Amino acid sequence: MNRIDLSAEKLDFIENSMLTLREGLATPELVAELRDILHADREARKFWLFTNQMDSHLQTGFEEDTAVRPPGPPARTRPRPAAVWLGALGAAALLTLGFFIARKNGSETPVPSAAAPMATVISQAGSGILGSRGEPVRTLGLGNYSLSEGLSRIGFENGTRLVLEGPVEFAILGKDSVSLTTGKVWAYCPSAAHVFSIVTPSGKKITDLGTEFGVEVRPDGDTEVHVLEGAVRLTDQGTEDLDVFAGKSIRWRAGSSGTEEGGADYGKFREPPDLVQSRLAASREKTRARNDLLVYFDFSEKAGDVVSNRVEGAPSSSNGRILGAGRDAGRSRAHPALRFNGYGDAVAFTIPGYANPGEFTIAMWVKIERMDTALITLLNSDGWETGDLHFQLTRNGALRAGIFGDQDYNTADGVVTPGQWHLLAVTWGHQGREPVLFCDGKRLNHGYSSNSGDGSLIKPGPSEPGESQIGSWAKPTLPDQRDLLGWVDEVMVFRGSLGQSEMSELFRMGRP
Amino acid sequence: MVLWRKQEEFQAGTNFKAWAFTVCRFQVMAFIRDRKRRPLDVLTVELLESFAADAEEAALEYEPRLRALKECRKELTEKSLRLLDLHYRDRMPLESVGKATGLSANGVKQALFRARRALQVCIENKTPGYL
Repeated sequence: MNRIDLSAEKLDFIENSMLTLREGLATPELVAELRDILHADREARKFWLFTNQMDSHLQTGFEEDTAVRPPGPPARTRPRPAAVWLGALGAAALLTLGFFIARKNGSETPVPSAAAPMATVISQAGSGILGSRGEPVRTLGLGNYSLSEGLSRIGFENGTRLVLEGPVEFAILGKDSVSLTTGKVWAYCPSAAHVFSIVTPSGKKITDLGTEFGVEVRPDGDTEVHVLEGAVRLTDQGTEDLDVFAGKSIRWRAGSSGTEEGGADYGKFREPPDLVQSRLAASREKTRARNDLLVYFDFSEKAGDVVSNRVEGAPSSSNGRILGAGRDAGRSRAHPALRFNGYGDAVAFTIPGYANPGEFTIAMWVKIERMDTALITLLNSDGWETGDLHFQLTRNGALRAGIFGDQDYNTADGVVTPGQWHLLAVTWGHQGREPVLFCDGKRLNHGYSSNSGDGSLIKPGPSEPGESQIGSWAKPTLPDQRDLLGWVDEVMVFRGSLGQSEMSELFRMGRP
Repeated sequence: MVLWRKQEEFQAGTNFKAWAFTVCRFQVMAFIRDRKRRPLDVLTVELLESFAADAEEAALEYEPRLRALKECRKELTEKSLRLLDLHYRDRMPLESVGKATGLSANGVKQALFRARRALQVCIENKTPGYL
């Protein structure tokens, strides 16, 4: 029974006002109306207090639960009575000071003093951040800081999050700026409305343009910037600004004004495990919401020998039947992956028909344990007749794709590294016969490998692959068995051919 | 700091929490009175006065409510928890939460409303007698 003795209308108004204030979108009229209601109605005041306190808890009360903990004795779960009491007064004080004051009121924000907190430690594992006198800190004002080992995540008022990887030395320059003396920093700046910058020892400034990026300053001063999402602007006195976009990196030597461009290294900067898991969950939600999927296996079933095609309205024949693979840990803590142990381990399913014949994309997250056979099947039609497709690996770690009746194409060897998760993908567009192969979001060059079948395929692209298999594959008339030894985490079959930017996005969101 | 400075004013044997809260309330009132009033400040000195009794009670219920909230969070769906964490813990605006989860900003808002309401009802049920 609801004991909040308040009309639904007032309750909704208060809830809506709180969210609007948090967003910084409240008007003076809305605030005046809220004040009037609070003045006139004690139940409204009680509800306001109650919900403010709940928000305060939601905002700060669970860091113990979510923080990355260093090894050692378990964290205390019950705070000391004094801390509780001070926290209570703190929450009340926050409330009475109106901490929902619009955050966008920048013009009225006073110039910060050195002691004023600019950032807060959200979680840390390892030695913890120390201030300039070697004292452990939880809030960071203007000044110099260091982290000798481990990871620390700090948050700024504008939503920017930094992950510092020890050993690192840095300084807080303001509410939207830090300088990095040495070490690695990964920055997540969620909103393009707020600008955040990192200044390097060479004087170059990296400013986010709605970004996820990493900066490393080596002990010798050489510096690298890797843009993982969005774009950054590199500013240097006396030179023209340079915009660097997602998937790219830029580096320079200490004392040199020249810069060198390259590809972004997505594995260079460590993310805290909880952030990785949040990103993976968001990636799955985003994938599931797409309307160009024919098949999406996320393998979220914890038991049973059926894996559901998560595409809404998909026919039941497109669900997968596990013919031997088992469940094992994958990239996400929330979902298992399928473990294929070689001979006979496979998932059989039917790819539903295409709305646009000829255009087709397969993408799958795969970790290979060993490459024992000449060819290793990723996803093949269950037969080998005109129009059937094969998407495989070679023993030497090359990606190989072919359609019976046309030709097979191979990438260079060594694309796939055993023991490492890869996003492997192939597309066939209607403009040409040749497939386009991708590994980890990057398009790969490929070459002609062999004629496949009798050359009877007239129209480009695969016809109807129909019955297909993930994992081990054999055809009685062919001498070779093609085994898969490793893990498969997600399988996506798209209607249409995905481009480079979409592949990069799939990889960025789903990387472990 | 203020409590430390005023410690000699506290009379042994009286209610320390009530004394501390009163000191805190006057400090807050002085702060609100002295600073420049902004149009989006919800609380005025007058409104703070009318809050006093209930705010003290609410502050002293901090710990049971926190415990209840921890329990109540377990009853939420994974999706609701994620939305709450992104918006409150990570302080992401609705639009950014929407981008991260594939929902519209309005969809996020409605989902947050529902999650908050579920938490409010659950906390009420687990901490009888204070609301």
